[in-house]
Amino acid sequence: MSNNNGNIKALEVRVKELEEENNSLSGRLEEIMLLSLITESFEAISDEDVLLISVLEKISILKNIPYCACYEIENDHYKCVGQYCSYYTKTPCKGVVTFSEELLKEFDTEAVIRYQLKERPNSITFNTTEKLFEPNEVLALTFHSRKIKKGIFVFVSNGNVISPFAQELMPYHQIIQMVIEKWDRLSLLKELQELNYKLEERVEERTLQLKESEAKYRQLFDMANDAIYLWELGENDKVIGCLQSNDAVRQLTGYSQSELYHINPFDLLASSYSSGERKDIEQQFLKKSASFKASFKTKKGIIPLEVNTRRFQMNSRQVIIAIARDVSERQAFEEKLIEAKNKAVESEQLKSAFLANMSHEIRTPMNAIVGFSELLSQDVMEEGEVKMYANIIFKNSMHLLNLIDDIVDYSKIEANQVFIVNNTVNINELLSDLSVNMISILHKSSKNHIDILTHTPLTDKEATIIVDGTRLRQILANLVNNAIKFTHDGFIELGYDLKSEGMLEFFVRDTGIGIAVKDQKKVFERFVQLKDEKVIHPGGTGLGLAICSNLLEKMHGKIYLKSEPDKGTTFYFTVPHKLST
Amino acid sequence: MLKNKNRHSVFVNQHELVYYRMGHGEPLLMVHGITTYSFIWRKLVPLLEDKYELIIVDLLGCGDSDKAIDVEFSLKNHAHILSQFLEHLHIDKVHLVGHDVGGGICQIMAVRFPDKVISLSLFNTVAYDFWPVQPIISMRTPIIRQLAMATLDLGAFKFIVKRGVYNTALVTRELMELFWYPMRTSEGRKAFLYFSHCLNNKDLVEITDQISQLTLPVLIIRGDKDVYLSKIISEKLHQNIPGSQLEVITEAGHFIQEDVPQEIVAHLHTFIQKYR
Repeated sequence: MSNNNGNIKALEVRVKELEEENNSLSGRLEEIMLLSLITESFEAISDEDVLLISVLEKISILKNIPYCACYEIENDHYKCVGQYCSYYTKTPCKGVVTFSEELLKEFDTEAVIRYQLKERPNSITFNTTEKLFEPNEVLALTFHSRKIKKGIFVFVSNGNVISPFAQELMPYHQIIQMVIEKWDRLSLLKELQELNYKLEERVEERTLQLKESEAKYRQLFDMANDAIYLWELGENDKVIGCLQSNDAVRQLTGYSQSELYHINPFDLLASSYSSGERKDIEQQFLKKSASFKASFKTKKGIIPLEVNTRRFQMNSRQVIIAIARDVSERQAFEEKLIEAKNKAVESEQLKSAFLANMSHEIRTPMNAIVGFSELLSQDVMEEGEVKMYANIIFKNSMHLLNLIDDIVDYSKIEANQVFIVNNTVNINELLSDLSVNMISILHKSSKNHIDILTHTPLTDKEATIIVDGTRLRQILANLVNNAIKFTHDGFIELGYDLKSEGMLEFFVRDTGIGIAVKDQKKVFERFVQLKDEKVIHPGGTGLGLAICSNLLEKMHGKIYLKSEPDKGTTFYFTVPHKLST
Repeated sequence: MLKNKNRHSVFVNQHELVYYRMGHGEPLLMVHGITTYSFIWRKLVPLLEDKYELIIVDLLGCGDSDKAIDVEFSLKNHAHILSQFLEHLHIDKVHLVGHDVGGGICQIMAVRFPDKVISLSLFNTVAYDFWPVQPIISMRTPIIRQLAMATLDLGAFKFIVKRGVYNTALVTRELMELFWYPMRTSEGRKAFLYFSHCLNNKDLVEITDQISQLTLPVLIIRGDKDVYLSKIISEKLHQNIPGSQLEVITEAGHFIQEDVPQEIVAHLHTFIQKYR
């Protein structure tokens, strides 16, 4: 019997041992499960409050703690952050617990508070009459997080069941630490999200502004009168195509944006440009900024454009903005303007030159005529004197007459009223006639020492041609007079040669003062007289050679000269060798 | 699944009770146990509804019924609520069919309100004090600990369900969804845990004598492979209740409605017909 009792006792001890083992095992299982479940919630839950409640629920259920809560403490105030009370239905079951002031003060100083409620019955008051819950042991653990400067987790066990908190509080600390870390992460995440949200808002706002401003600029772009292109450049500054163009481009060129998209602007250059000119324009175009004029092919024909370009970087693309304006009207206008201006200047000069020359040219012989006429009528003179005065008056009158003839001639030319009247002329006779006259002129101007030579290589038959004899004589006489005027020694040769092109080339050669190269072209212009110290007053209107040149033009001929200063001058002119049949 | 068109609800003491009502014939009140709710009867409905009027209730705190925990979820109180529930439905007498702790509730109803009960059928029921629910020892009792943990983890819950079904192939995802449904919300979990905390075998111990004196027909069906409840319970009930009928089905576990719906319906029908 006693043996049986001993056996029973031993068995009871063994049962107790096993129960304890079982307890410890289930306790470990609880902790493992709690941690694993809480980790699971951390992954699934992103709302701080939901997270807290979920963790508190798990602690409550697995640790069999009816009241689990988290409070934020601020001085002597406390606010429930979240709680799980297994004996209340309503969630959240706020306002269930009241802490005593003494306990609140303790929260300030103690990190871990643990006591039997019956030892300090007034420290926590539960506003419940629930008989299933008999508040037993209190465990309070303080913490702080980013958001909660001072907080406390409160656990209250149930006296109904044997469930003291384990001696080891590690799992509680561990879980609280996990919760806080997760909170901090979430709060950081939230802040980040808020910042993100704000940023997005600002971006949206800015985008809207940008859109508005873009619309505004697009409108300006489209409304502009000038054609605006945006060309994109590729490798080696090769133009890829037109990224954008405005309405004015379509109006000006007839090309649509889609057509321009793959067009190289240089292909549109007018075909009249040489390859060199094209290259110039291309170089201009590719510069950082440039302004040039060029004519381009369009669907509406070739249009001269004034182009202003600027090259820049746009979103890593090299682009050139080109603003083009149709200058065809302006160009035509400018041309007209220049022409008109030139004409105005010319006639102004003409007038002044004419007046300056004429006033002098006319006054000189007139003075002589008036002066000597006066002398003739006043005094009693000798016959010789009278003759001399009359002679002077005559000479000056003749000079004046010549002058007037010239002016009239030139006026006629200017007014396009000179008509060429052809008749049969023997140029050999004409030259011989002129040389007789020359002798007389040389004699009169006391230049008898100058020899007169003639060169008439053609027979009389060959030398009889159809030409305006009067004008031919006028031209030759003019050249001869000039030669006499500027020659002081030597000879004057008068002649012609038959040139292969069926032209007769007349010449008047002198050994006079010559004409400097720089002046050689000028001598055919109107009112030009070369100044030379040896010729103090050459006389004449300065119209002579201009008249010659004009006349010859009408006679299908040309006038030109060869000259060497101090050696002499040869004037050549041509007329067609048109034989009279 | 039970059809929504048959779903009703009624307020008893300001708490909503959800129930399904279908079929024609003598009324059967079907009372589920803990960890389940009305769905556990679904396989029996098509087999019974052409013979009986079925009233399938979600106990307070279970299924879709009110999750308020300011009411005591003791078996005694559940029995009281169900008796009020029948009054609200104007049903005078019913055949009681209970499973698990639902069987305990039915026992209390049969004892307390014998006028309302025609017959009593108990499937894998609790009785007396042969079930581990005493709160004092609950911390050391694996099944209650398991239940508590299981509310938080579908895996743990599945483990419980699997152990309760003989033919484990029947534990499909769909079945787990049905079991897990109330555990999705904090209220559901809290009510479930509250229900288990409220379980106290004193409610059944105190009617031990009255059970032995029952005169109404009693059918006891036991799934032989029920690992949660001892077979002593069924045997003792059968022993103590004169004229009671005990059926033991070998290939069935705790959730016997999942394993062998046809067999239990056959027994039930035969039983009811016999005592008509």
